[in-house]
Amino acid sequence: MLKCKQIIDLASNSLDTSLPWRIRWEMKLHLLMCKTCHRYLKQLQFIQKAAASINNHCLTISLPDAARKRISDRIKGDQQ
Amino acid sequence: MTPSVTPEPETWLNDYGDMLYRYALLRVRSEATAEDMVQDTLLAGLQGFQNFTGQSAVGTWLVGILKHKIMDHFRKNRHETSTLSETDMGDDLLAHQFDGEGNWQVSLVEWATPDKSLDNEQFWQVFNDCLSRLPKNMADLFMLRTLEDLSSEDCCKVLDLNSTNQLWVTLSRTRMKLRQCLDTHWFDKE
Repeated sequence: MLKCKQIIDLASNSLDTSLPWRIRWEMKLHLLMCKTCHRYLKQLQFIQKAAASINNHCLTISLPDAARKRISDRIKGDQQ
Repeated sequence: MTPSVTPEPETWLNDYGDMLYRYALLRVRSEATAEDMVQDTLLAGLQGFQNFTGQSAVGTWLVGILKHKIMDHFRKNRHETSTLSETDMGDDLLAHQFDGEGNWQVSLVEWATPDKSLDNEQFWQVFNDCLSRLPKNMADLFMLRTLEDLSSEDCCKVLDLNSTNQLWVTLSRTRMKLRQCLDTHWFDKE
């Protein structure tokens, strides 16, 4: 029987790689019976989804004016 | 087919400056480094414009150049990465969450409508704050793996990890700490 503490790493690994079928099966059984571990996995899956979509959401990040000016000057200098 | 237009880096700066900066900043997590990268990308684009086939949009082509710069940055700065301590790895958090038998000794609260958070600007503030609280190695690894879909071998190389096992454990502890931070600073406060 898998311990809850082992699920921490297995839940994370399941997001990165395909686990061996036996481990997958044991994990599935564990998650059926353990609400907390099930919740943990769901929350990791959400974090993963959120992180992957960060480009589409943090749209307010923009090049600061001072930086834009410095880059512009540098490009002009380079072109001459 | 070679494009008949001449390169216009000033226009590129206007059109793609924000996009390139955002792309770089989310990965390198330093404003100064992100600025340097936008500049280097535009200069490289200017120099290498004859290689631009016009088969992709200029923006896509520039992002391709930027991606290389980002990977170079992580490779070059590899020696600056430091070994992660037990605290960095969240051993204390793990000990707090589990008893000696490996059973949960805390209960996890269900996150109510997490998908709604994705459209909330404040959520992203908290998300980025939580990333910043992580040791830089861990945040770098997590974002490179997630955003650049970097292979496990490349992750190990870039972050100077000895084995893929070390990589999986580090990723697991990174997610555990990130989950805890979001739980405390966002979902608990909704």
